[in-house]
Amino acid sequence: MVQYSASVDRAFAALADPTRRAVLERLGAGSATISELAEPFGMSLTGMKKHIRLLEEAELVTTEKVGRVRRCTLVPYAFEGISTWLQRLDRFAHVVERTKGAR
Amino acid sequence: MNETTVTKPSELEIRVERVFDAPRAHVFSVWTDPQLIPEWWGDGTVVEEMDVRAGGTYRFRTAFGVVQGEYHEVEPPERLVQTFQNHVQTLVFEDLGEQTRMTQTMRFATTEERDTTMNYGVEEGAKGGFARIDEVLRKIAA
Repeated sequence: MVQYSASVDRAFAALADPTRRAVLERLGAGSATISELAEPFGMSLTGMKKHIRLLEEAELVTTEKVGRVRRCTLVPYAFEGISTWLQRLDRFAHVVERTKGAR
Repeated sequence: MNETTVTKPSELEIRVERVFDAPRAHVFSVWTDPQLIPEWWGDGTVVEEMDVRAGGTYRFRTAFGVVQGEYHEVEPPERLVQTFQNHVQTLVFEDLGEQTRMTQTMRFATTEERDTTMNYGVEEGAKGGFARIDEVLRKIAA
């Protein structure tokens, strides 16, 4: 069984908010500064910083100060754990099953 | 659901073995079909590039970031060597008649990197959690 760590609880809490989900979706298309993220939501920089801090604490987003602006990036897949991969293989097995005989 | 085994054949490697209930050519074709990638990589995954031949590259934009690599050897339906982010994967598809055994060997540059991948999710539970989040995001996207 999967053991849920504190960081996973934080991740779920972070995902409970629609703005933060939209931020993750936006970051899926590439990194962005806090102001670039705040603008489409009509949000203040302070408000967006709070959202980003929660996403950072949930280990979903990393930020880096570049000059005077803070750039936000999705945590990359570089160190994907083996258990994530095994769950993906389960999904792969389902696709193999579903498409069997169809070609 | 068939059992998956995970072993550490050397200081730099992780090996994943699994048997699928389908002929080898089919398993290989599903693995290399860009149209089916979003189904097992998570809804919302966009295949930006997938040129399945030696020297070709792939690039998927997933819910959690970009995944990319290069194909080194492509020998349907039995062998595929590709880079995946920070490591090299060798996939061997073994013909068992109506079943196929897939052996996936991941080779890392250092034992630390190997152990990071091995331990994430297994001991910390963190990455298992990310897989759960992936499921949540798929439901949100649906």
